Amino acid sequence: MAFSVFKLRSLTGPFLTLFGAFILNMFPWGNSPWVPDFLLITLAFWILQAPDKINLLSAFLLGLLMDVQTSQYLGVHAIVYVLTYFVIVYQQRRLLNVTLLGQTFMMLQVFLIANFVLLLILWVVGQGREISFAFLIIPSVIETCLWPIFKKALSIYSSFINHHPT
Amino acid sequence: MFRSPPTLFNQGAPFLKLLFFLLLGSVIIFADYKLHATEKIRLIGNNLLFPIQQLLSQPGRLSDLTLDYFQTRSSLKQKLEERSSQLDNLRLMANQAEVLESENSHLRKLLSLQQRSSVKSLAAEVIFSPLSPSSQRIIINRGSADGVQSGMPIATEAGIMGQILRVFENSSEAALLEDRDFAIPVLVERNGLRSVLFGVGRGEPLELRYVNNLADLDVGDHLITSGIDGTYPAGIPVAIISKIDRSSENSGAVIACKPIAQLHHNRYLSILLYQPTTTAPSPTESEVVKNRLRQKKGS
Repeated sequence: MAFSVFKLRSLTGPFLTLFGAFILNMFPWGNSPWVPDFLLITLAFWILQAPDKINLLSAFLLGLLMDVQTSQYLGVHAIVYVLTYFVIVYQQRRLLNVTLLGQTFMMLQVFLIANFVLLLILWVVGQGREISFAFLIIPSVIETCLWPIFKKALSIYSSFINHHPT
Repeated sequence: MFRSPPTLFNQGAPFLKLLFFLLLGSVIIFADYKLHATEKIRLIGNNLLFPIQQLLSQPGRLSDLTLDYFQTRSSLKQKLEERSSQLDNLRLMANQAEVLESENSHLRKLLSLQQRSSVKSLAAEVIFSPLSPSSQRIIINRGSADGVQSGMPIATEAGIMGQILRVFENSSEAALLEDRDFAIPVLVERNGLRSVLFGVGRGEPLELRYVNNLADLDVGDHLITSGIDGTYPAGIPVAIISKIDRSSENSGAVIACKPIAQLHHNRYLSILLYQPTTTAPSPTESEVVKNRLRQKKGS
């Protein structure tokens, strides 16, 4: 009984918000560097706060879904998300031991790595000979600015789920 | 019963798993990039996502509608007058065009030339443009169910916008003129000089390549499709030359062009259902050549 409740909670917990973030990504924002990857932020939150609820496979599959959505070569975002997972887990102790401000600054580096890897893969595949640095800096900064907001909102959601198991 | 250690200590950097997924990702990218083996997965994914995409494009349409509703009476009246005068002009031109067309077809028959196939078009709506640092694409709401095929040109009333790249069941993906390495055969309307127009990338002007440094070109010349490759119907406006740099260090002139059709501010466009007229088989695939090769090997 307790086990099944735990299972259900682990399914509703992160995945509902991840799905919501994906929907947010699917809005017709247009193709400009000013559009952040909401799914990346949400994924980063869950990897940092609850790595036991989300594994590499789910990050990978979400990446594939994102590739279909952005009509990129399949696997590009998948690799980006998997590497993001790794970067966050690798620095988890340090990320959790600082104030929100410090954490936000550390997340800038995580998002920079993620966007850099994305551009790097596109460059390797031969698509990005003219990719501008705007696509590295601007989304990373915007995602960093959104980090405290997402963190707050998702923390509230997470504590709500944990206290009211469905 | 075994007790697994608490999750806190069980964590750590999962190097092996990471390597596995990186490898898997690379294999999938390779399969998509070189072998085009993942179209099926993409098709399934797209079928799943398409209803949501279309639903999410509704707010934009709604805001357009409300904006239309709140336009003032006077501006509408002014617009109506403008349109009606335009319409009169167009009617005059249409009459002339009809006469010219009948004359033209008559002459063509006389010359026993191949009749040019008239181009049917299909109205479509832009759903969204996918976020991508490397390309300029749009997703439109017509697909294989409407008879769209990959390779068909898309255009607005002003001129060519791009070309369909990938077709799904109810939607398709098109590359815009600005997309890098997009190529379209054109000719200069004024003197019939043929060349190829290339896309350079986001926000960059288009480039007319393979033109002699001394070629007769001016800023403001209109470029239209030449129809040589059989992909684009002939005579549709594409771009205007905006800048010519004839510096001596380049072997050819560097010619920048501006697309005539607005690429990024269009909600509606039309797909030209154009069947290529010249379909020469690739020499290595023709049966005659294959037989010859076999004979050569045998002897």
